[in-house]
Amino acid sequence: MRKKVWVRGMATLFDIQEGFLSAILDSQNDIIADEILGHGVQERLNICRNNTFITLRQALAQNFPVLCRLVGQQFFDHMAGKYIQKSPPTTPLLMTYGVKMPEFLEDFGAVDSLPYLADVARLEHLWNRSFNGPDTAGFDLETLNKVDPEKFEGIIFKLLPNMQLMSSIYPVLDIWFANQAEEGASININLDRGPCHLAIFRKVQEVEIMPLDPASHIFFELLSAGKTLGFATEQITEKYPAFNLQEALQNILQNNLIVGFEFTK
Amino acid sequence: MTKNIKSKSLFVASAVAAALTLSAVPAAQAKGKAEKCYGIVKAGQNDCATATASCAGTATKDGQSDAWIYVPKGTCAKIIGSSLKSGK
Amino acid sequence: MSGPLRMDNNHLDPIPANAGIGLKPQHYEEILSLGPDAMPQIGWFEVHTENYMGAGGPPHYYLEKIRQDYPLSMHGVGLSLGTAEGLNLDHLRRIKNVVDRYQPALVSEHISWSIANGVYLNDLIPLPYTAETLQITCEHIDQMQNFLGRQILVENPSSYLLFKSSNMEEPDFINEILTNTACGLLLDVNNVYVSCQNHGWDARDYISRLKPETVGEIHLAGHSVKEWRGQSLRIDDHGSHVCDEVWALYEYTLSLMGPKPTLIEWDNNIPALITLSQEAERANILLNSDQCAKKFG
Repeated sequence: MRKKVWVRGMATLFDIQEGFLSAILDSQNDIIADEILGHGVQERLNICRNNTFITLRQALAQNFPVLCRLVGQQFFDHMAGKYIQKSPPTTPLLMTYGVKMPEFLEDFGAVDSLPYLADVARLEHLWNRSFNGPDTAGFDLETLNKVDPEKFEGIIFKLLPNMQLMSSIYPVLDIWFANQAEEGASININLDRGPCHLAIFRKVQEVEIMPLDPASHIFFELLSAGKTLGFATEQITEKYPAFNLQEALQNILQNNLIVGFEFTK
Repeated sequence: MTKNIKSKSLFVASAVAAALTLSAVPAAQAKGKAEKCYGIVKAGQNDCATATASCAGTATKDGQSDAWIYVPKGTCAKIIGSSLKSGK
Repeated sequence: MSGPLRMDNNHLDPIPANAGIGLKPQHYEEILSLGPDAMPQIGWFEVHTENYMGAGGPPHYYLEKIRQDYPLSMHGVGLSLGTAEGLNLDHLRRIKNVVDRYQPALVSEHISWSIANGVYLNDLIPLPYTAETLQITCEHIDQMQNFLGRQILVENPSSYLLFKSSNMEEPDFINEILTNTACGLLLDVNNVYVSCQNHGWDARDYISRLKPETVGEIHLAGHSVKEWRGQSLRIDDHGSHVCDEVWALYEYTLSLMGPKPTLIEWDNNIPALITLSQEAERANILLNSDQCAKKFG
């Protein structure tokens, strides 16, 4: 038990802050209520609780705008309140608050009938990470032209450091894109369109989302993991004999997804 | 074996060379289709104001009893498919 | 308690004793396209430090450009100087990174707490004003100033509740902090007004007890009034024009302290840039008034 030394008979600062935390997160006002002066103590605590929940809900609504549109504002607010209680922020940076939203949605019974929501949340979180991720200087393709072709097999491409990759068994890009449209625009998505593989990245200002075929997705994953071009090619052609290396490379080069390269030692 | 390695190396080298040649076109002609979205006015979320509605009742008290009123009511209604469980 | 730093940040593109506004993403493009000559009412910008702690992206792109034309103030909301469990060193490092990058003339934080048990509540919660709180807060201010190698300003809070254990009045608590550390005061005149109204204190008395030479910046903002239990409660929502009572209190403050860099804060229902520059102009007129300037100029 902590010793209360500073003001005789009163709680320490630590006690007060812990009590306040339970009042705000768990509505356990009685622990701290005795420490607060004057009338209307419960209501005064409610102001603090409401402020915390309102601003955190707003942060989640900004970080997951498509999710919010899919379920509607009222339901989103309800769901966000549950999320905040379960996973309150552990850093003061709200720009990426909601990292556990996909897992939360998978366990949230009220959205059982909407199984694609978790992957939509995943995409929105990755979009956000790319938005706030590291910037890079441009890359001049000429430097690649100067490389001895025999060394290409051992080359390790460095892709955009803010690039994120994901796969879903649902057409989440279609869902995402349809919900960027103006309010009231027609949105018709058939989930049976099947899976999608996505690269999410930012070159300068705009975040871009690029659909990939399954082979290219693995190719991107291997390159992102720092594998050599030779190794990545070998891995993919084993699984996808029809993989077109030239086209995949063109896709990378034309979209300026490379920021540098090195060679195996 | 040696021949195989040599040919793989050649295969990679020629693919890179061809991709480099064909990529020397303006970016506007690039083939990959990426969905762009400007996020520039995405607001910074940390601030030091009190939310205006903080004084309005207890915004977060939704006990089990009234949970039934919370049903998703957004654009999700427009998404169909056989993989959806029959929700209500 | 005061460290070896005798802090003089004047080499850092100092903020003049005129009006600035809070920088909002909605206004980035307009600020850059108009340029500083078209907006003489706005002398400088203030940002919430936490909103520029991402690795990269559009927020940095715009702040870099705007910083080239204007002095900058960085106002933190996330360090929780009054926390009982020690400062978050990761966050302190993040503040240092962004301060090193943008070289703001002013760096500030709040006299409040927001972190307990590792949970960040995103609210600037008031502190009990006791000797224990004073010691903890001063240690954290020293720690922050030493880590950054520069002076910081700390802001007086707005509050809706008080703790029974408080045995110092708020202005006295603030003066103790200023005496015990080498930090300065960010005097939020709206916060003084809001708290005084909510707790039945005398706002002019509060301000007259502060030492003019410790004040490095003033904040002005709008608040809203709610009817609550048969009385008015002031909510510090930064969502409207500065009210007449706060302008009057600001004028009184200037008559005691002379001109100080003054920020217009507007964080909710954010208006057009022109509205903010008009609000800034109103502050400039008071800053340049005879009553304020002659006495101190």
